[in-house]
Amino acid sequence: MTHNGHDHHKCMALFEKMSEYIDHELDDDARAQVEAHIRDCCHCHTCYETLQRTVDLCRSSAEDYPLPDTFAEKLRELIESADQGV
Amino acid sequence: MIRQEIMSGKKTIRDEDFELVQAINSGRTELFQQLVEKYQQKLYNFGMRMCGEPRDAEDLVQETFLNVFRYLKGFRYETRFKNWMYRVATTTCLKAKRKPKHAPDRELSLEEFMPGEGDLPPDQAPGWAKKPLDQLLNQELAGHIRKAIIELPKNYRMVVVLRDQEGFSTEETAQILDISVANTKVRLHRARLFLREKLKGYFDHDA
Ligand SMILES: [Zn+2]
Repeated sequence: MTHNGHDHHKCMALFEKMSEYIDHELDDDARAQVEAHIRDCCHCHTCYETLQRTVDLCRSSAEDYPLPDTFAEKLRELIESADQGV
Repeated sequence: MIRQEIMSGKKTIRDEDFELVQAINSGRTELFQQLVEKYQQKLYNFGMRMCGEPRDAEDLVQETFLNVFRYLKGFRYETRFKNWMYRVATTTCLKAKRKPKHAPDRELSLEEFMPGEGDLPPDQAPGWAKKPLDQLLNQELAGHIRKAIIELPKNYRMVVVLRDQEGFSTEETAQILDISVANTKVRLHRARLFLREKLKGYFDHDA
């Protein structure tokens, strides 16, 4: 199981670790292995770039939603009545 | 002040809400409104990300603050107040009835996202992974991402929202959800792979 001279098992093993790699959660050894592999394997490189982009898009699209009118007021009243044991 | 700093592993965390929570718990309950004002926007965002509908998000925020108000006396500073509040919010969210239009609760397997031998990923990253982010992200795409997140099964949606949108670390997310770090990582990875498939579909369709 190879493509472009690469071991499919290696690609699959890498596939499982891709998020940890993106999150800088791998130890130095594992990190170096991933880096060496994606330098040589264009498929895994693509896989990495698209996953990294997915994470970036998720983060960047997380903006504040406008609070509904009077919601703050509603919350204040809710807590006031809870505080009074009503 | 006692235990203003929380020991978490070797790290010491400062809780910016310590004094306020102490004051509320010593009887100044009127100060709770300050916590509400401080966190209502954050919790509403979380509610919208998890539920997708303003009414459901409002319900989640209200229920969460009521529960925080009720149980604050039992808060023991084992974690930051904010993280504990998210724990209350996620528990509240998990208890809420599942919306019929939401994704069914199911497990995502790694295999369903693995490229088969016949369809390897392309040897070049597609345009949407290459373009500068600010040229790519617009309202339409943001809306599509929101929709894709809602389509995730709840257990996965929660992890990706806490990690990639609310900005919690893996350890914090695990603690908030009361699951292991390993399980958090597994769920996060599969959730991201799911979202990547949705993005691929979106851009393929668009191209
Ligand atoms: Zn590879």
